[in-house]
Amino acid sequence: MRSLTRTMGLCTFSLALIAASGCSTTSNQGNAMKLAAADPPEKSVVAPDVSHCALVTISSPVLYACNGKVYSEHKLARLREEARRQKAREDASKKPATNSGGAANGQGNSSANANSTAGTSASSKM
Amino acid sequence: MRLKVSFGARAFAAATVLLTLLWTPRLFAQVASGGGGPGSSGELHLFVDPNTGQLFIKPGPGRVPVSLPVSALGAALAKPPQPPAQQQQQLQQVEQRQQALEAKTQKLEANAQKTADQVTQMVPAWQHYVDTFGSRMYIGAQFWADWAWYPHTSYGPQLLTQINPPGPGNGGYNSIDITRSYINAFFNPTDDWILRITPNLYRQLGGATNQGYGALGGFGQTVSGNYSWRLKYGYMQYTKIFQGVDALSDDSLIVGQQPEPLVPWEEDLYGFRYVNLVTWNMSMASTFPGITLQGPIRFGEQRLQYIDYNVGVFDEGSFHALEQADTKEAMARVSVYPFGARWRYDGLGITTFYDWGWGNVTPDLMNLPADLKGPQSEIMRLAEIVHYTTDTWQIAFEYDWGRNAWSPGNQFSASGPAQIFGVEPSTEVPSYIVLNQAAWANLSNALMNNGRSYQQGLNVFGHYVLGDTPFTLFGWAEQWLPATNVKVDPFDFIRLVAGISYQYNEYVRIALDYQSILYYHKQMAFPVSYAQTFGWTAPTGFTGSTVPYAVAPDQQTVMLNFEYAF
Repeated sequence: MRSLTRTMGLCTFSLALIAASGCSTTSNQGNAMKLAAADPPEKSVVAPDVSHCALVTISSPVLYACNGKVYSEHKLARLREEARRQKAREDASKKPATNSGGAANGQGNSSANANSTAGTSASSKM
Repeated sequence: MRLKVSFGARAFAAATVLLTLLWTPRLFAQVASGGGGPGSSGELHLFVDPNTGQLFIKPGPGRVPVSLPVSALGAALAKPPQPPAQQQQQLQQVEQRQQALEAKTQKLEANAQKTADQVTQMVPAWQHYVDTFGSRMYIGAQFWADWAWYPHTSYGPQLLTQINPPGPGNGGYNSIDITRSYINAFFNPTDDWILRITPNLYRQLGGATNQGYGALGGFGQTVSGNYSWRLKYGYMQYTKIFQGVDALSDDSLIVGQQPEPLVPWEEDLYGFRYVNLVTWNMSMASTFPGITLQGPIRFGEQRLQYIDYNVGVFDEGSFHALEQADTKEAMARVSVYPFGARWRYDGLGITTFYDWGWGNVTPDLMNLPADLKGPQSEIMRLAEIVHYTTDTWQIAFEYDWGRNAWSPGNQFSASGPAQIFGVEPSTEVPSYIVLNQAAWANLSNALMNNGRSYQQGLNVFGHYVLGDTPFTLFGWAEQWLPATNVKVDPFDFIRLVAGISYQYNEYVRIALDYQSILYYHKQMAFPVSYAQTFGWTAPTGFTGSTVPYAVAPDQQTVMLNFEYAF
C-alpha cells in the first residue's frame, strides 16, 4: 500500500514537473517557460518519515536508514521541520492567488466564493 | 662701523658694497680715485686691520690699504662658496642618518599597524574552544523506563536489566523502573581518534550490611536498592587503522571497556532493546573491557557492505565484575551479506558469533582438583542468525548453542529461591516448603552448574511497520534449554514477547507489550537418583526420593515502555 502511495506521489510530482518545465502540449508553452525562468519552483524538501526507517544503531545520536541512506535522528527531525515549513509557505502562497484570480475573472460561482472565504480567513490570520 | 668676518657676513658685505659701487658711479669713482689703483673700474680699494682682520672702507689707525679685483669679487659672489670636503662628508652622513631614521620610523609604524591589526583579530583560546566545541565533542543521552505489571510472578531471568520482580505468589506486583540512563560523551579533537565515556545508571542491590557505629550505636545500610552510576563504556577508538585500504577504510581499533561483538549488534538488529533483552544477554553482559578490531568490508563502485565483523579479546569478567582469571575471553562475530548491504543490516545477512572463555576465578582456585569444575569451567557460546531487514520490517531466526554458559545465576537473575543465594527464607514459611525449595535449588545448581552442561536456544524475532502509521508490531519468541544433557529438564522455558510500538518522533518511542516466561513442561517430581548423577546433594533433613514441584510456575507481565534517545 505504501509503495502504491509512493508511486502515485511520484507520478503526481512528475506531472507537476512536466507542467512547470513547459513541456506540456498547451499553446502557452512560451509563457510557461518564462514563468519558470522568472520564478523557479522551490526545491522540494524530502523528509523521510522516521517511523518508516530502519534502526541502524541505538547510540548518540540514534541512526536510521531510509531508502538506503543513513540519517541521524537530528537530521531527520530537521528535514521534517523544513518540509513542514515549506508546505506552510506553499499553502500560504496558494490561497491569495486563487482568491485574486477568481475576482479578476469575475467568477461569482460558489466555488470562487468558497476560495474567497478561505483567502479572507487566511489573510485575517496573517 | 665694524663688520663681522664670518664667511656669510663677509660675502654679504662684499655683495652690498659691490652693488652700491655698481649702481652708484660717483661713489665708485671716488673710492677708486682715492685709492689710486691700476684702474678706476678694475679694483676695489679697502683698508684692513691686520691684527683683527677687519675690513674698513675708510683709512684709520693701524689700517693698511688693500686692493681687491672687482672681477674676483663678482665671481666669488656669483658662485656660492663650496663647503669644505669634510663638511660635505658630514652633511652626507647626516643626510644618510636622516634617511635611515626615516626608514626605521616607517618600519616601526608599519609594525605598529600590523600589531594593532593582530590584536584586533586576536581570538582568545577559550573563544576558539567554544567555537569548535560542537565539532570536537558530542554529548547525548539515553533513557529507558517502564511500568511493569505482573499478574503472575515466578522465579526466572530478568526481562530487562535490573528489574527484579518477586517470586511465585506475588501476582499483582507492579513497578515503575528505569532500566537505562546513559550520558554518552564522545570526544574527537582529531579525525583519527575518538574517546567515549558513558556513565550508566543501575540498581545497586545487596552486598551491604548494617554497620556498628561507636560503642553502642549503629546505622543501617543505605546502598541496597539505590539507583547508582557506574561506567558502562570507556574506550578509545582509532579510526585510521586501515587507512589506505579502501575496503576497510571504515574499520576501527577499539581499546577499553566497550560493547562486545554480539549483544549490542543484535539489539540494534532487533530494534526494541528498550522493551526486552536479546537471548544471549541473559547469559553474558553486553560490555567487556578488551581490545577489538571491527567494521565493515566494502567492495565495488557502490561500496556495498559484504562483510561486517567484530573480533576481540576481553577480560573474563564483564564490565561489572572484577577480573580474577589469568585467562582471557575471545569473541568474534562475522556477518555476511551475500547480495551486499547499503547500510549496516540491509537485506539478507548471515551472522555467526563465537565466544570462548573460562570462569572468572583466580588461578589458584582454578587449579584446585575437582570432579566437576562448575564456575571454573570452560565456557562457550555460539549463535547462528539468519536475518533479513528492510526499512519497514525485519525478521531473524537464531540458533544458540552453549557450553557451561547458563548458571542458576542466569536462570534466576530476576529472582530465585533464597537458598541459591545463600539466604535463609522467612521463618514464617512452613519448614517442609523451605526444605523442598532447598532441594529444588540444589537441583538447579546440579543441572546447570556442573561444568558439563550444554545449552540450546531457538529464536525468531522481528518487527513490522503497520502501513503508513507510526505503529510497529514487534515480537520475540525463544525456546531455551538450559541443560540439554538432562532428559527432561524442568527448567526449560519459552520466553514470549509481543507488543506494539508507537514512534512519537525521532527521539521518543512508547511500547505496550506482553512478556512471559513459560516453563512449559508438565509438573514433575524429579528423581533424586537421576539428580545425583549431576552431583546433586540433599539438603540437611531432606529424605525424599524425588524433588517435588520441579517445574516453576509461569510468569506473566504486561509492560508499558518508554524510550528517549538523543
